Amino acid sequence: MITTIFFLGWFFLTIGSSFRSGKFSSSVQNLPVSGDLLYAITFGVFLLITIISFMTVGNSLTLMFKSPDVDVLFPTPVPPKKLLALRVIRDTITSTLVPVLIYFVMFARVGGEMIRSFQRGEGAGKDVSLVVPASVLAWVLLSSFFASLGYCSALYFSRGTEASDRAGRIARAVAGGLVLLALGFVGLQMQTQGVSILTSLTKHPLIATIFFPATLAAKVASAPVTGDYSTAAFAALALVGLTVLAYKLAMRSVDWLYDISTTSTSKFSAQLEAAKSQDMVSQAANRARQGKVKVRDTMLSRWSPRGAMAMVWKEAIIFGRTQKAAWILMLLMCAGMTGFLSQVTLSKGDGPRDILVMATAGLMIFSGSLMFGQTGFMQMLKLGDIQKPLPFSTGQVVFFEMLGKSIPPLALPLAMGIATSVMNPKMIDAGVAIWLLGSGLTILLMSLNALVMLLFPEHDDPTQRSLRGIVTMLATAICCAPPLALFAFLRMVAQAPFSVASLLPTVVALGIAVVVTSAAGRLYATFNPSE
Amino acid sequence: MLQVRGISKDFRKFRAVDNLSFDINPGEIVGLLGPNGAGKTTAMRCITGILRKNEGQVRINGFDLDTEMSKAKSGMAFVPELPSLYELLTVQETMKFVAMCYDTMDVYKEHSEELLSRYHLSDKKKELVATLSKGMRQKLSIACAMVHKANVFLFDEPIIGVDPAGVAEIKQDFMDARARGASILVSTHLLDVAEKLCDRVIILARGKKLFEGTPDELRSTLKMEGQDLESAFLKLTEEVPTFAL
Repeated sequence: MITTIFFLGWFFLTIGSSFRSGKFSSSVQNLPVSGDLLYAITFGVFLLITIISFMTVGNSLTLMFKSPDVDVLFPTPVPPKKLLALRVIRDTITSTLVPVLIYFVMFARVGGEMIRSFQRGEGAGKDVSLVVPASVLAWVLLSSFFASLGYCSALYFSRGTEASDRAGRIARAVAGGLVLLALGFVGLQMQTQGVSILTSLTKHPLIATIFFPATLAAKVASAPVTGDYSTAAFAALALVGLTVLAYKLAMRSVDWLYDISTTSTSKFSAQLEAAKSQDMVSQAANRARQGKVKVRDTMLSRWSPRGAMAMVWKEAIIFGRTQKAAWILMLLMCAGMTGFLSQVTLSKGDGPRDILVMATAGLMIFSGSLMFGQTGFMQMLKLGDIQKPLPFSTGQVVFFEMLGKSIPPLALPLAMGIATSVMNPKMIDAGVAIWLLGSGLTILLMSLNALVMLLFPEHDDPTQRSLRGIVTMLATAICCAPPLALFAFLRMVAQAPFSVASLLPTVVALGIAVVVTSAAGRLYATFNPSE
Repeated sequence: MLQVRGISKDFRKFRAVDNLSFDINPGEIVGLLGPNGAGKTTAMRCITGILRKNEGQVRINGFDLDTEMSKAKSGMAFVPELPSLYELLTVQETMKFVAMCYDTMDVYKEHSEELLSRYHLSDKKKELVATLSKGMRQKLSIACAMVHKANVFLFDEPIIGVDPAGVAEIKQDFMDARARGASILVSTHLLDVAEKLCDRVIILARGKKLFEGTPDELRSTLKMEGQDLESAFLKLTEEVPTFAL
């Protein structure tokens, strides 16, 4: 909820304000808006939903219910036909309402200006007051068609039989192939004739045929602009007919509803829960249950450390099976960005460039620690019953958990330090500072992650999740301020080289990390796995 | 040997475990019985150090859990009610992890193979825990408890979700461990299992110990000789259905 409020606030204050302000609409006011442009815009919007629907054809996620629905509702005498009808209506309403609401809140002013601009020019004498109602009608028709088609295709292609699997593969290949063909055609046309061809391409027979639902809806929406009401009426009837056909076909397969829904609910609900709680380990465990995680005998798995170091070993193995790909990507991104920035020549000299490189490194360290930290510490809470009886104190458990989780993100400052030094040997001093101070800050951030996770241990509670994010940022600002301020002082006031200036702040960061880890250890001692 | 002296655990104003004391001698299996919410799991979690107790003392093999924690925990193994395992470790890696934590790698290889074979997990040893069924996880959880040199075992509902063959194997393991001189505390709802397996039973209700002794002593105390443990248990915990009175 808090995240949603923050997101909406940010969206309306930044992106939304530019659309709602007079600036954007006044710039539209002066544009000559043709009927073709209006058609192209409506077609473009309808095309988007068409492509998305084509790509998700036959997806069994459509038929996912809530787990209690499967266990409680399905065994009741409620006819599945009624359930299916309700779902189609619900999906039509939700998929209609959201875009219409967005239009009226965000784009109504711009849209109105475009229509008026059209009326002042090419559309003089035409009654364009029906453009918005016609567009809404077209959207409703298109939404209901795709809602019915979604259920119809899912009920046919997700039965789990060989025939339905084969048919689903063919349907998805055909849909994907057609989209690729159309995109290839558009790309080719744009290469030879420029971007201006886009408007006329929306009426090209190939594009219009492949994306026939978008074409039909665009014909309905643009009828007040083109004045071609008979074609619009035919298009509307065609969409209604297709919707009825898809709905009827879905109803003919309704006997499969409970079967497919039960399978898809058990398949996706755990995945969605894990995704919602940002628990990468649970997500990987779900993939493992589907046979998608490979187990390899590595040197690491043959290593046998004793005592609490076993926690680091366990952490390394689990990390390799969950976040290795994300880690490699992050490593390349970090090295690439700092390496690139270290070569940039700025008009104001090397000073600002060095600060830019250091600031980028800091940002990447913060992102990396957050990314790799939170999800791992979630497991520490979930597995309290196995970890707390181990022959270590809770402080040791938290320390070694933190150590194990810190190793992958510790590679980030190292990679950035090396990339900076290699790409610009003059910056070797800054490279060493990135590695040293970055390592200290990484350990500090990981310990903060552990502490905040223990302060808000409800991983399934979205409120706690949001609070965790806010408190992590706050704690990061408070705890990172002393080492960073000291670094800035030593560098700017005492004029110490980067590497020398980073030594004391690194020690301070590690000192704060020790305090934070010991506080986390005390909290872990009182943590009840049942709560 | 396990010695529990006057342990209590409060959750804010609610007292979940109230002044619980008992001993489990070497070579003894004790059943911890009680209705839902009696405090069995909380008591077990206090004894294993998962939860901090408000009062009392726990000694494992003579070592105090609070002051000699590492030595105390080294001789103890706990199997929670819901098998709590690392889903992304393989069966073999899970057992190896436990052996490494308890520093018993010297006997791990031989011991783990024997346990894997006994619990029919040998063909699953390279598979991830995430792919195991609930019963398999429970067996692995018990195998992990057996893989290090513990002589105090705490099992919280160990046979829930395990197939009959698995139950028989687990019971046999308990008896083998008892023969080796281990002290075993088993929390269970299955009174027939408790009657056949346990030397003594401790009955808890609302966090308090209502009874401690052999099943025969319980029947004798309640003047219910010749009746089964279930009837005695229901009478003691006042859960006898009204139609039976």
